[in-house]
Amino acid sequence: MPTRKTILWLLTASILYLIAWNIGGGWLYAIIAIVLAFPLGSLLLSRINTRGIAIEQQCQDRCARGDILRTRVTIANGSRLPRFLLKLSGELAGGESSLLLVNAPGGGSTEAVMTFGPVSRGIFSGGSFLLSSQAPAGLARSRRRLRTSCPVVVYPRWYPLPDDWGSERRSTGFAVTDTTPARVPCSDYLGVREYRPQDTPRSIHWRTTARSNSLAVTEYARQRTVSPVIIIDPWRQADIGPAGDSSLEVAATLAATLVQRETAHKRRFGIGTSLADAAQRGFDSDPEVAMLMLAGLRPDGDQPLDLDTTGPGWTDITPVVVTTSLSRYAGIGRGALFERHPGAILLMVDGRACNPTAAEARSLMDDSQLAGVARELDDAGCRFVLVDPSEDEGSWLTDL
Amino acid sequence: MADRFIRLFSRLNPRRQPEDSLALRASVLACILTAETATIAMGYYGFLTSAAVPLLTATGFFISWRRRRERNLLIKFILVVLVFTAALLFLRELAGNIYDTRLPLIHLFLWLQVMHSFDLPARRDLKFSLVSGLILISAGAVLSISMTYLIGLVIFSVVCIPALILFQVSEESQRVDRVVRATPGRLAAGSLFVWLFMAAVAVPVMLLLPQSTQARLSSLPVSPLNNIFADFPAEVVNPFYSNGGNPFDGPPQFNADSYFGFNPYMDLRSRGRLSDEVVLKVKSDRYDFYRGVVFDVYNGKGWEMSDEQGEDIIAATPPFELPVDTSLPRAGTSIQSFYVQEDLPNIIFSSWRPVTLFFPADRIKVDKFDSLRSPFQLTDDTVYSVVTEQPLTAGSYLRNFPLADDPAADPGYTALPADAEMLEIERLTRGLTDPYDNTYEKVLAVEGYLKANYPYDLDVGPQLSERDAVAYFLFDQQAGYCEHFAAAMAVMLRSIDIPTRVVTGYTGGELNPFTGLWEVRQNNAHAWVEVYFGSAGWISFDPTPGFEMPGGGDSGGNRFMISGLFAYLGSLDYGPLGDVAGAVGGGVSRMLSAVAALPGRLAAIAAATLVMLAITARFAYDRLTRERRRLKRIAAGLSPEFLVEPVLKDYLRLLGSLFELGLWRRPDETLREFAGRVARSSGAVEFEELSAIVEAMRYAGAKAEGEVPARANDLSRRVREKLAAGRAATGLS
Repeated sequence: MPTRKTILWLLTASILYLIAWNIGGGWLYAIIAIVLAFPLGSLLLSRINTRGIAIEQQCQDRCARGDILRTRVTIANGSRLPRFLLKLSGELAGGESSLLLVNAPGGGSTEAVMTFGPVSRGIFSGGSFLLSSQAPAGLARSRRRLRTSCPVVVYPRWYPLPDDWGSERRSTGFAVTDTTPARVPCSDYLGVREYRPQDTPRSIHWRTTARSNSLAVTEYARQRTVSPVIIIDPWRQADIGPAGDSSLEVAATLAATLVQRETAHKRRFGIGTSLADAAQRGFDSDPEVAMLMLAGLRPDGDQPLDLDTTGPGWTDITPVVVTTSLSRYAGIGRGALFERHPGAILLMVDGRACNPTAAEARSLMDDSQLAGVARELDDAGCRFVLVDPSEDEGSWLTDL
Repeated sequence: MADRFIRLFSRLNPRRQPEDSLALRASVLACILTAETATIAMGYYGFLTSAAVPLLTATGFFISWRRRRERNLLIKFILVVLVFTAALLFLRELAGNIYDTRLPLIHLFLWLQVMHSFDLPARRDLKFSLVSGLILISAGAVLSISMTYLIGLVIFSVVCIPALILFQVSEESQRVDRVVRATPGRLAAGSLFVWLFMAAVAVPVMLLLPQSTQARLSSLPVSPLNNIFADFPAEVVNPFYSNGGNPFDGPPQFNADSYFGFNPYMDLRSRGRLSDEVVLKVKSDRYDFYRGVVFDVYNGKGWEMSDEQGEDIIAATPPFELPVDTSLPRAGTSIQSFYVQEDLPNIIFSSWRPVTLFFPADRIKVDKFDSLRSPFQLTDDTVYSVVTEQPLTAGSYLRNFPLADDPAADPGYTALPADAEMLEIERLTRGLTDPYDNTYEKVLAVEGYLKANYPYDLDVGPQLSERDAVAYFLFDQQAGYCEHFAAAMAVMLRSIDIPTRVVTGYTGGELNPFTGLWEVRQNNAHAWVEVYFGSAGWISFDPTPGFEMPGGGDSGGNRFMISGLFAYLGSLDYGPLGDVAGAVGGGVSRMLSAVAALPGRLAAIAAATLVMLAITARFAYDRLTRERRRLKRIAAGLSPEFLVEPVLKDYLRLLGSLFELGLWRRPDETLREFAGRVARSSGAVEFEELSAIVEAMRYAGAKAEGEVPARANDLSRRVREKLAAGRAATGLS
């Protein structure tokens, strides 16, 4: 394909030809032939240049979103003739890179490092390359698309959390301990403590009261397993913002951070894009599987998350819902999930920060509705956290 | 005020990104120096220019590189002043030679190139410099008339390639993240490859490029003027021959370095072979005969001039407007520029009929036969140009002239010696011409008779008898050289009262397709006849076999280089190799001439058909050989068993499929390593097991027995399925 430079080149040849025609050329025709040979030869040469070239790419098989991916590219020239000025524009995992190879000797190969980044979350089978050549003088361009087999998984970015949600509840491995002033099934005597208003008079420990001259009550401890089930809402309509920084991307980051925290505390956990999905995956607690699921997470849901279902009959779980929309919470109440599981957490990603001008962001997020949801969940003993992605990356995780 | 000026000057010269590549600068400098040297080597400029221009250019490039990050306002200012000075000097030089502006213009351009080389901070400036190098080499091409220019042109094209590549590298480097540069050796090898490739494209382009060898300018080339303040004789002066006494009294003179017909006389009794030296290079759009001397008196031994006096034509500066009978019909106008290569007599050669002459003298002479005489002998640096009007020679026109059309014609043109041999010649002529009733038919009858019945032979011995030279040729020798034929025709026509005269000069020579100049050699000297046709004037005829008078109305057209290339190559002296090359070249030339002779549309259809056939043949060849080449390449290094054993054959075909996916075994890879790589990249883990089977068969002497063939077949099928799935997933067809 000719380039703009070709027009100037041909114009030069035309002027020389006019001169030659009027002065009886001689050697000038030889120069014109050489000048004309360049665009014509470039058409052929650039085309030949992109033939017989194979690319192999080697890279690390996993990394996190935003990383710079270093790959080793081998450009093999299968022909006996050399190749020139090969431009390799590659795309891998959402990152782009380009390379100019001045000379590829015939029958040989050249290795080069290409860095792609920052990469986007996803599971990728390989890179896509556009091999082009404008040799030797940029008068014609030939392109050829090549693919490499270079599988790479880009996990969501995650951040280490300074605190653990179980620390307030005296976490002991997979179990947490609730204290109660009354004996309940599966409870053990824990000790005596000072009386607090609303403690039932039946729990007063009279002997200690008499001895200390102040009201004291007995306390019992109930141990139970509490496993977080992380549910991410992949509703397409609520995915707001540019691809690399959309609200779903923030949700994936939140989920990945939670997965890493549960893994660090050796707690079992489940993950899914709906209750049914989470039930199917179960509590395998494998961080590799969870991160792989998050890497492949796409905004492909037709409907917002259905929270009116009661789930698969789990007990002692803490649902952690990471969502990007309000629609299921604002209009129809807090849903069966929150009714059934007091202590559940709703992490709401504020899509307005991802793209403040998007109309759908404004319709999906409304301050008064958010306040209403917060109140409802608080009443139900659940927790509501509004995540503002416009803050410095990672700082919004402190509320977790 | 000064501050404002500096600010304005700075605004006019904005800073650009400096070009740091030393290799790029060096390659551009090499281009410029080549262009300058090629132009200077033409020898038109003095020592100062020849030495200073390349030296200062190199210095300028060095300073530009060292100061590429500076603003260089002072240098720019000085350059502006120098440019104006150079322009003034150019105008002064131009005033000295207003009829050939090329030399002053190229002189100016050389110095502009020098000045420009002092201010090349950025890539764009270097590009301009390269373009000006192209213009300079083109200017040199306009000046050049010799083949030695080819050396400069080839060197220029060779050194330009790395410069163009490095320009492209420099441009693209700014648009990519990373550049893998080539070593200087590889760059040089690559440049050579590109040069060969471009040369392979340029040669056919040059061969097929329509070319015109005619100058269409009103100001034609002419060498520097010589002022001739005194009168000079119009007679022909040839320093190679003695002019004293009656030349016909002694034995005939001959000098291989100068034609004996370029004298005031021409002895027919002897001749020799002339040298092969190029004497004239002529820029002309047509093949033509260049007229020198005209003889009108036949004395039985040769030809003489009845009157050697000439008319003065004076012009302070060119051109000379020559006395022309404007009533004579003409077929067209032609322009010739003559570059004299060897010393010649004082004859100004030109096509017949010259009307305007650009000659480096303030006066010339024209004799009664309209032959032109120079006041000095032509030396090897003389350049002159002539505008001629070609006479109308169409038979349909000339047939209208009956005998004795113009009774006013000089009776001297029909005079013959009064001897008995003339009667014999008259009888022969009347026998040939009596059936015709007009001059033209009679002339053609005599011309045809001579061409058909007398062989052309340069080696006939000297005439030792005292017989009339024409009668000796016609009746005794019956073979001869061009002077014999011309003299015989002239005498025969005079015998029936048709006015004639004999002309000597040069035939058109061979067109050098590279320089675009007709190269006229000493042995192209020739003699022919002019016949008087009354109001149509003197018309040329050539009775010598193998020679044809150029057609008057035929401009020669615009030729393709290819049509003249083989003829030119055929005209060169190759020594013993010449016979073989001549046979091959002649065949090709005839074939190309036959194609060139086809009418335009038919030629286009033939060319298109040839191209289509070539493309079809190419595709057919590709189709036939692709599979074989592919398997051959894969099988390279493998045992011949791979071509007979079914399991191995199938494995080989599988390698072919992998090859299409860009997976082939590197020379340093074992089968197992390759299998591992394939399994990793395509997911076809079965290929590892299949490779193990093949490895065992090939290297461990295992036989394809029992379940092995079925297992191998099954593995192969599964690998293919996975490869197909992989292709579908990646969108490959």
